[in-house]
Amino acid sequence: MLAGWRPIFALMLLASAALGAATGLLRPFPPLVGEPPTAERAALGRLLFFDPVLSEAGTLSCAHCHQPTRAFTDGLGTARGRGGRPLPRNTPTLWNVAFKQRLMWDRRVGSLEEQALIPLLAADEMATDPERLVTRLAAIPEYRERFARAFASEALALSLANVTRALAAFERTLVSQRSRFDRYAGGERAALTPAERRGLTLFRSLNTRCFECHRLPTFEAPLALGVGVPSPDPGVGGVSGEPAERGLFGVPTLRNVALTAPYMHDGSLPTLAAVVDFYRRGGGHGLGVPRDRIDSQVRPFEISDAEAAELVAFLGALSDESASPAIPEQVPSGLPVLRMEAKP
Amino acid sequence: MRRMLLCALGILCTVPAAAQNLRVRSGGSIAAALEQAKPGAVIEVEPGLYHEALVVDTPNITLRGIVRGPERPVLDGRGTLNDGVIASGSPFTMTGFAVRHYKGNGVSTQGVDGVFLTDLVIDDTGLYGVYPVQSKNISVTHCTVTRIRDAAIYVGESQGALVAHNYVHHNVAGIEIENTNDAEVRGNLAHDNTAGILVFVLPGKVLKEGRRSRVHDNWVVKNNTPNFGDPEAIVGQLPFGIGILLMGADDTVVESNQVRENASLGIAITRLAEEHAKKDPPLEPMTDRARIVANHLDANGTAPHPSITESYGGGGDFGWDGTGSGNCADLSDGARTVGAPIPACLEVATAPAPHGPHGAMPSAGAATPPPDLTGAAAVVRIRGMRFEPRHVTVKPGQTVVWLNDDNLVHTITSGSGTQPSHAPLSSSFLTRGQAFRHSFGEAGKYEYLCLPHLDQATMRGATVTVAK
Repeated sequence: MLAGWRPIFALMLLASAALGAATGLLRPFPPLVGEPPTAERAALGRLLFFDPVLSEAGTLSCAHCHQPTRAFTDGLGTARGRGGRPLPRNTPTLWNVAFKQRLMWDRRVGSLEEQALIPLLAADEMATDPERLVTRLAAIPEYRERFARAFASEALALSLANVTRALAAFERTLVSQRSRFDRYAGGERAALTPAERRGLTLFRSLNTRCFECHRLPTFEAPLALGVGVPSPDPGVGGVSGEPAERGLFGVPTLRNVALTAPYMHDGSLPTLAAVVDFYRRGGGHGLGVPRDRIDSQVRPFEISDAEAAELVAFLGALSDESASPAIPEQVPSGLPVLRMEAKP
Repeated sequence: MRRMLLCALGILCTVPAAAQNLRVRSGGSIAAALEQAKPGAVIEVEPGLYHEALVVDTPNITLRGIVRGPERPVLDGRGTLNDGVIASGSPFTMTGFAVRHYKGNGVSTQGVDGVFLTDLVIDDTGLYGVYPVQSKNISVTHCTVTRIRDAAIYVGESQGALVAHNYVHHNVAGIEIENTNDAEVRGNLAHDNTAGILVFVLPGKVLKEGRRSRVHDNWVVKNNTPNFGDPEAIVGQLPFGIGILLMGADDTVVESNQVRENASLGIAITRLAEEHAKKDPPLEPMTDRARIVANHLDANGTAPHPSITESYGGGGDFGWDGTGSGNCADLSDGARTVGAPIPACLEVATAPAPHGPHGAMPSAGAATPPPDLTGAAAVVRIRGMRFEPRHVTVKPGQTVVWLNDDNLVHTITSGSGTQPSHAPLSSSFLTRGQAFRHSFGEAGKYEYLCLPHLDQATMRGATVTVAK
């Protein structure tokens, strides 16, 4: 008799915890962008993600640059591609890419599926020939079976398009929304230390104006903006050909940001303290960057060194890797899986 | 029996919890009171000096300053603290404070639904005095804001705002409505600012439009103070001597304002400059379908800023840069106009405004579905600034529907006399044709009022009696 009531009691407890104490900082996440992941596609995508079979030479996997132990970045200033070739930009995290309307620093693509093709096909990255990739995968029985199951309703289950759909399904499971900040937002006051709470207040101040671009709950914004990192990279302007958009880049998420050093599109700032310092001095103002390439909200502001440290402390409270996937011991191709370095 | 059991389990029984009342005495800490405050709490603060920066994350908090003659509580940042108040809990109410000497901002609300700021005296609080952003259902009334380096009263990326009966002077911008839909700006006095009232759409925002604002019955006088804003920011480029300026916003009505002695332009319509618009391609930079009617314009444009002379060929009571579509102005014979000649509003048909993705409120003239009156035991119409009927009686469990049949925005809000309590009745802002419904459970007498029109005796003290 009582057993039947248990779920109701549980619901009531949940409801009272949520309704009684949640703060105004608790905001619903937007719906996932694109195709919702199925379990089978995400599982297949995970194997593909770690499998160097995707690269023509069998040496690079997605995980080489997007390392789970570094919050899906590589710890480098700018990424390294095939044979260590230098690539122009800092590797962005994959956490919460599921909520992004546009991807890449220059916002050039609108879906994870399209995005996956970029490193797959780029000559200085995986340099894959699409036909040979499909042939390689079809030769591996486990992939044949998994594609057939994951895309059962489709005549051609194993295709380049479905490789990208499986990768995207996996990426859409990389959701980070249980940080200590989220617990605080849900009403658990002790989840943040006093210094972190002061940092959160600074984050929302009209003095620093951080919150206006790094918005709740994703701590990003669907915008291209210039902050004035001195760099020859044309950013969004390089895609649109529009001179006014030179030097603009997408606003990155701050979720798990403490785990993704170094920072900015070119990895030029080594620590979060350096990033706060950059903005405190007015971003690109005074660094020789033309004024019209810097957003009008990026202006010098005065905060004490102690306050700057509190801001950094708050950013540390945005870490949550609870949905981190297991790294497979082996992948269907039998190629070696990149040995992940232990966390620093 | 079943109901009692459920009630014992905490479901289906609405026992009105006693409101938590906290009192802060001079020398005490408001922040400490906020730490203890539960949703619904009213924090009363005695006159005194409070050197604090307040953060309000708990929903439904009221900060009520106790005003005794000239005495009121003062939040003083002494030039060292960043912001007076940051609020994220919904709704948020603040009345009766002075706020001064902060580095960033006076009172800001971020993502709040239901912002009620009344009788605040704000001076020298950095970039902004009052700053609701990414919020909705906002009311800023009876505030005095001075010596602000950007906008004294700003509303940004928001939906539904009333800015009324405020007094703003010696700021860079008096009132700024930015990338916001459905704002009503009325009965304000703006003088000796660099610019009086701005209705703008600016680049680099998530909400990329501003529509259907009404600016009416304001006094906008002698806004000739040299710009003391940050010269590197957009606000620093604002020329002095501007009364009312529309830039990039659509479907704005500017009506029955007194606009005098602004040295550059009394009322102006312009597009967002190409250099700014190009950075945000989805943004539509033109000011379209503005209607300028029945304003009293006098002695504006007598000593214009050089940039105005360059763009418009001189100063005047009214200036248009000739861009945008569907703009019109009815100007009196004596009004001096500069720039492009603008059609009279009689000659411009009023096309229904297209609804943007965020335009939840219907605009006047647009075809709206008839309001849903099904199941109503009583219907109260609001028209001619009255509730008709003013008193109704229904049985427990029955539903009352209120219908706004008036040309003004109204709310149905619980409250006694002129004091809103927001429970159990708390409608959003209702424009013409919109309805609000509520089903009453317990027997009793429920008094309500209209927030934007608390100053009208006919718009408060109305009741619903629930009796078996």
